[in-house]
Amino acid sequence: MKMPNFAELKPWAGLIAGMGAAGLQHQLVSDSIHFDCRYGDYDLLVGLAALLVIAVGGLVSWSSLRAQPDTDSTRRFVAQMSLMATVLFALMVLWGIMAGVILPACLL
Amino acid sequence: MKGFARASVAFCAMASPFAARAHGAHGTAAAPGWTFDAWVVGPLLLSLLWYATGYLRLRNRSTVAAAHHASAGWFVAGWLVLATALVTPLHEAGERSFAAHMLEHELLMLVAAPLMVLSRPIGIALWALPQGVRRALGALGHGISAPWRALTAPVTATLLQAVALWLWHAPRLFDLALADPGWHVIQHLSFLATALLFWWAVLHGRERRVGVSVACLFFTATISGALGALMAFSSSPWYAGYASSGLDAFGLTPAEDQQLAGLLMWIPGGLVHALAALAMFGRRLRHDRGHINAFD
Repeated sequence: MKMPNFAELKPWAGLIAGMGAAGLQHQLVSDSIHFDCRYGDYDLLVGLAALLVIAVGGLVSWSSLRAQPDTDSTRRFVAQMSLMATVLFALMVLWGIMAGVILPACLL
Repeated sequence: MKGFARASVAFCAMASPFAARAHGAHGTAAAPGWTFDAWVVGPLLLSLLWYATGYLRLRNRSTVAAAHHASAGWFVAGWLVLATALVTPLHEAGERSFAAHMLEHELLMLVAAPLMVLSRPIGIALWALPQGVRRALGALGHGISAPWRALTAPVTATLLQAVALWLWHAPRLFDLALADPGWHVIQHLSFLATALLFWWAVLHGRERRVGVSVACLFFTATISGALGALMAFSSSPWYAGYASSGLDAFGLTPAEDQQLAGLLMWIPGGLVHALAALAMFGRRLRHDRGHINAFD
């Protein structure tokens, strides 16, 4: 059985990490609050962890981008797209954190 | 969903004259009236008189007949919007309805502030002063140019406005502003001041880096849109000052009133930022005859 080559995934890292982290934050905090608002206590912790994961994914995509000087390279394009997606997912997580900071979770 | 539909209908009703529809809390209070607070009307009239004096003196000295007409037009439009937000029954209605209060804030930050910035009023207003004072103020202006540049750097101005926007919508601070007129004035001043800095950075920094200005507009659209969406989808009223007032001027419950306020912040607010970004790109494209490098 051929082992997957994880190096091939490097340009995609920002996109994958962004989607995964933002999705997990949404499930663990935003959705859980509807069932029990005490889950809001974990907003900051989960949000910061999600931002960290996104930052690591973004850095991997960035290093992949720097390693591709050819502007017509598909891997370079994917890395650029991943970086832009990283910013969007980071904003999404950030607004979730901010909501938890200014509002009591049981008020939402 | 039902509340959302009612909020949307009430949004359309806001286009009609407010005073005729306003019934106050519990539907029994008198229609909201005009606000002639000396601390609001005084500075408004003084600023108009000051600008008009400067404009007339400058026009008399100018050799070009139409010089500064556009600036004066922007200023008058911005001043009228400011007066509409702060003096007309909309202001008093904002004490009973969060949606009306939100409309007032949107007028200050999204309409009055950019119009004032487009008018570049300081140069014209200086002409109202004697020559010696003008020179002294000019020298002072050179002295504070470094902090001014720092405050009007696009990223700084964007973050300052974002912080003001989110902090003042925290329930504790918003209730403080509702309960105390002094804090209410500080809230409005901080909204207006940070909006002026933001629009100055975005509109007058466009010649330098249109991409940065558009990114700041996008960031601000998302930050105000996120806050508006939170309000629009929340089923509990956030602010005790409105929660305790029962039905608002449109017959909405406090939660529905808040959803309407959230929609106002989210949709029209986002549209203003998007249109500004498109206008800036269009202007740059015309300038560069179709070739643009947004990050140059």
